[in-house]
Amino acid sequence: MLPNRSKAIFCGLLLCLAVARVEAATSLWVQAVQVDLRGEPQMSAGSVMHLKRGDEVALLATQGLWLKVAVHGKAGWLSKIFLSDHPPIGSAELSKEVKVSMEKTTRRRSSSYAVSASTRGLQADRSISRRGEENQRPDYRSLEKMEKFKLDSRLISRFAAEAREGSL
Amino acid sequence: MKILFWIFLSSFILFCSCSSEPKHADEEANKSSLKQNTEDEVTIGREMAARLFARFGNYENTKAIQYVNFVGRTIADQVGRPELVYRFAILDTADENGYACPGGYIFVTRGLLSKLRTEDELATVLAHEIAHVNAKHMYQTIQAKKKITWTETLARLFTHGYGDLGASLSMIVDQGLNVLLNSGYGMEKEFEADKMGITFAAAAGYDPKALTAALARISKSGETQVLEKTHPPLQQRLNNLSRYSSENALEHGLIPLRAEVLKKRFAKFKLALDGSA
Repeated sequence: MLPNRSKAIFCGLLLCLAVARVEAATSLWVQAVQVDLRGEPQMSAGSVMHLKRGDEVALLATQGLWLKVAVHGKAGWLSKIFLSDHPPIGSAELSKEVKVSMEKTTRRRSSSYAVSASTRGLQADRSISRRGEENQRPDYRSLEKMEKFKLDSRLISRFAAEAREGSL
Repeated sequence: MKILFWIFLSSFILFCSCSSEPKHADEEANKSSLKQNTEDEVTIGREMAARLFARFGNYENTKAIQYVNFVGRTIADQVGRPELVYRFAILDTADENGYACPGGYIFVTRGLLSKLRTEDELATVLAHEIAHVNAKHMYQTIQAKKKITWTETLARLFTHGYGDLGASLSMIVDQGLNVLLNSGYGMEKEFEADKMGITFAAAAGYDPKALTAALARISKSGETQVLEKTHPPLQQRLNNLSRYSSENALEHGLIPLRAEVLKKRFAKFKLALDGSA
């Protein structure tokens, strides 16, 4: 038979486990590169603190598109369009196979990526090409040009900075 | 009786501990699921993109494409889903419209570009399409069937994915193109993309009210048939945008120097666009 003190410890342990589970279920992660935590649920409200991609926040309340969250001991408001229920994972880390597929020419499209997707019911495009309707035939040459068009991220940063700083 | 109580309590605690998966396992499961969904999205998106190019033609104007990509990537790099690569192209048609395919393949038409007057307007139009991709509007509509049996999976692996089993990509792409070109996403998703779009544009430093200006101009011109075929009536969109902007105090402090930079850049773009038209 256990004494009352042990019962209290047991119950306390139970409560801690329940709280831990609830807390884990309400975590959200910032997906935008940077975003301000606002004092009020408005874009023009004062900034409580700057958040960056990957910051984890705890959901406190919801009001339309706005979520009240707690982060680093502070509470504030964020639009839910900047958050997700999973940590951000970069395209490079997530899907090397996708990148491989993008680099291949349109004639060599049976990459591991296409096969992998096909196993989930996404049969590769051979059947599309067989359809024979000229106006429905995919233009892979243009797609390839679109996928090969690259912009250096430093040039994009400079492009954005030009507007911020007001000088070309 | 007390023994039964303690057995019950211990079992409950044990259940709680076991059912709480370690954080690492959760993260791995999330990553794996995200990878699978992203692969599906990109597979569908690129096939739809290839079909849009075939239907309308690719407007191959390097300077114009570069500018559209600079503006689009300025927004997507700030607020886009980090697991995707966002790409922008121009379709060679006088129709005024924009299209977002799953996986980050985004299009604007030459006709729509000719109607725009500022970089802020272009930014809000592209942000609307980025919002469709971020919210997975198309992917949710035409999602591939999820439950595939083990035998189907094995059969596809042995045939390198070319087996005639299950939902085929061509059917999904047909369905997606029908949504893009005929039925549209529906009012709810379009209004959501408008709201998300102007919020994204504002977060990237652009004037969120520019979408209203662009849509009002198209509405006034009377050339609304193509756009309204797949989108809600322009007047309704304008009313919703106005309400959302005031409710959320979406404002933008235009500094004269910034306006000058954007004006010069957009003038160069228009020159490139008109020069080869």
